Amino acid sequence: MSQEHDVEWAQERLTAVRRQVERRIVGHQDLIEGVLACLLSGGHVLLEGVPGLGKTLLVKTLGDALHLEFARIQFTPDLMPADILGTQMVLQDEEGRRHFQFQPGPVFTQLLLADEINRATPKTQSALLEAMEEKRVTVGRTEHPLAQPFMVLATQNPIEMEGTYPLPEAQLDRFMLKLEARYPSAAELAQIVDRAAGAAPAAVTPVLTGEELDTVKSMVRSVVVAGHVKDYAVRLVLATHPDNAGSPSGTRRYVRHGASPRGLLAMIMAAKAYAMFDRRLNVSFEDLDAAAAPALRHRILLNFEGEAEGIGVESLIEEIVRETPKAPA
Amino acid sequence: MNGAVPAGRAGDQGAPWPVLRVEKLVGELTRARLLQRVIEHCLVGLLVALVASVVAVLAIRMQWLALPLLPTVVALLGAGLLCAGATAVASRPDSLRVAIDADLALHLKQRLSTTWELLRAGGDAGLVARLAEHAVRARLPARVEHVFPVRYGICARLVPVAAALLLVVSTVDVRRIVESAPPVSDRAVIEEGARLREFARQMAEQAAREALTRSAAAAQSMQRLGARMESGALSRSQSLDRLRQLDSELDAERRAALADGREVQTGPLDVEPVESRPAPGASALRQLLQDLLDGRASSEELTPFTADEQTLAQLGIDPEALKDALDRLDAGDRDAVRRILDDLARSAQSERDAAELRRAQRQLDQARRSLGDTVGDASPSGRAPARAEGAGGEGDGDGEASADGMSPEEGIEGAPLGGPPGGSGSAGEGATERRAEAPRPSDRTASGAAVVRPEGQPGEGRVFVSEARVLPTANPATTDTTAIAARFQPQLEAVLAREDVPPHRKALIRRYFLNLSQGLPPTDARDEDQR
Repeated sequence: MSQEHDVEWAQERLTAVRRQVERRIVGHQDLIEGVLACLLSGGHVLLEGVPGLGKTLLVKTLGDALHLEFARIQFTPDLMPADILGTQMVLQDEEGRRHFQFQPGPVFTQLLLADEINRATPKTQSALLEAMEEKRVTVGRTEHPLAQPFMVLATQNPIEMEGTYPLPEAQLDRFMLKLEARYPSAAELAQIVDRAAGAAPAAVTPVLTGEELDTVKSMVRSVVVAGHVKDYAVRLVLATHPDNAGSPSGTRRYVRHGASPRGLLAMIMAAKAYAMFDRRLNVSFEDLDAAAAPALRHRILLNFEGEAEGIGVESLIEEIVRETPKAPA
Repeated sequence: MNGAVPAGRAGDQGAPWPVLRVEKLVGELTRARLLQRVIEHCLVGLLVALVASVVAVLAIRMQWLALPLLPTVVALLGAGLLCAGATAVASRPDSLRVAIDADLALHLKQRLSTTWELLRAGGDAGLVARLAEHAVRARLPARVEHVFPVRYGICARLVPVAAALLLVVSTVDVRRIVESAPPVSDRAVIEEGARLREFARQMAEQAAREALTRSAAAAQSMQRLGARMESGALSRSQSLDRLRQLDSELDAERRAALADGREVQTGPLDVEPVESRPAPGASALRQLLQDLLDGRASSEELTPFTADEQTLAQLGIDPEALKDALDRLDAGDRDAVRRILDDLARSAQSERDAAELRRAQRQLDQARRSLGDTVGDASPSGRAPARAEGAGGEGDGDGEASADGMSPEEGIEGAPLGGPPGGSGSAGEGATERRAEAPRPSDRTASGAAVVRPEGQPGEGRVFVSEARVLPTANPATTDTTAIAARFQPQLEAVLAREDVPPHRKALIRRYFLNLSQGLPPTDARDEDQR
């Protein structure tokens, strides 16, 4: 199979996955694309949205469609790291001898939904985030590698912040994309009613195996980013910094800290996935524009003035995309 | 092409057709972009050259520039186009930049530029071929001219306008239009023009009557200038320039007339003592000589004249020559006397001419003053307009005040500074300068001593600034406390009656506030209470 055929095939597979997801999920096209882009890039997603928008269903459906193992953890203040990672259990064999045996926690899965991650204590959050970064769990002196592919989809409820432990900036940076689940439109709501309150929910067939997913992921990595496109991505990230000469006025006025180099990588990787969705072997300016908000919105910190005036990071990113020149000067 | 493809890598002759198609397309796009730039630059260059040509033609037409018209225009246009073309070619577009621009223009999502970048960098041939195929499958343009069309902006729209303007200024005599058109309708200029023209007309009549050739010519010049001023063809500054110029010419004519009459080199007007003042005995001498020729008088009657050398000198007659002529007349030779008589007549006419010209100069002075000339002191005759004011009118003849504000006698008195009146001609510019240095009459005290007026030094004086901070001082109150106390006590009693105050404390409270109202320290009440 030539690489050109691989591209066609990959695009076809991805379309099939999306079609399977759409059998259960109404709308949320950008959310589905973002989660798929993150999965193909080997990153993790932070989903933000009010309860009841279908975030859990989306992740579960994705697991079904991709033939991936799925687990869900509801984060609560009393959740301990061991509840996530697993623990050493004392077991007694037939001869009466006792020994420790590691009992893996729910993190040993392929698609992990960490529901309301900001409700757990920082200690528990940190345990999960370390596993996300290292892709392994160390208990005692033993390392336990996590299954591959491994992706965490953490959710946050933006309206109930009382009694929560907001993720610190360094932890937020570990999420490749931050996606926002918007409220459905009237037509979508009607469609949701038809699907959920009607007959039995539609069955989702696995259309992509783990091996096939690995192949698609490697193809996404091979998507070409031309020099001038890369320069544009760099300009976009630099424009999020208030002390950069070419930054827009909004950034200079309201931003305390701009995006990290990890944000640039996240944007490039997401753009590569978007290019693959569009059956292209090269990244375009439009791919970067589309990836800018999910990759940068949780990496831009507003200053006091921005917080006080209720400035949205989204509007700042829109301004950055609008004012950053695409072609080199 | 800037983006040369390395041999043996992607882009060889044996490359797949999509790669060749991309190569060809980028080459065509680069040429189209270059053509676009050349045309746009040339339009700008042409516009600049046309504007410069218009300016140059105007300058040539107005005779500010002494250059041939057509070659200048051709040279400017050629230089403009050449510079523009050279600039466009020198800034030849980069092929990758062209591909990026084409991507943006055609919404190819960077397919073309990515392929071209890899192709130029000699990337993996297989990947380049696939990228090229993707690019070719996208909407590649069939005609590259549509990708980079020539933009006919504001320059292109202004070029015909500038060309038309150039044509107009090349074919129309702008100078004549400018000079014939009334630039301003300055009422003062028009009125002065009318006055000048009327004066010149009268002067011309006078000159014709008396056969004054120089005055007649001057009258014509004045009449022309007056007519132009009256028609509004001259602005105020132009009128002043012409008036000064004419004044200068008349001054020269007047000097020439005086020189003709006296056969001496005259100095400036200030030291021309007898300019409009014929010698007292000129007419009597002429009459005597004529009577002598006619046989109605004898030589003895001329004795008072021959003895008065000063008068003869004023008349420009050599006493020895007069004696010799009289001797010859006695001997029967009448020619010598006739020559003296002719000389006297010619001298009288020249003096009359000079007087008329002098009168004309005063008229010019008056016109200049009316038009607000501020450089009157610089007039060739050295007459300040303010001094001419003292002339007391035109053509006053003998005894009138001279132009420098002095009486004729004063003028004569001043003459010795330069030399004797009508003398050897040593009175000249030097005399004028010395006179200028002498104190003016108004600069003398009652006793006649000169007042020394040192010249000031223009400049800014020194400024001293000081700032002081003063602490406020206590001031007595301006409100009368008696009136307040009168109101205060009933209010206090009302409050004490209303509030729940222990009876034994009421007196203390009353005293406390009454003390306050009278300006006493409230502690006195407490001390009293304690006591």
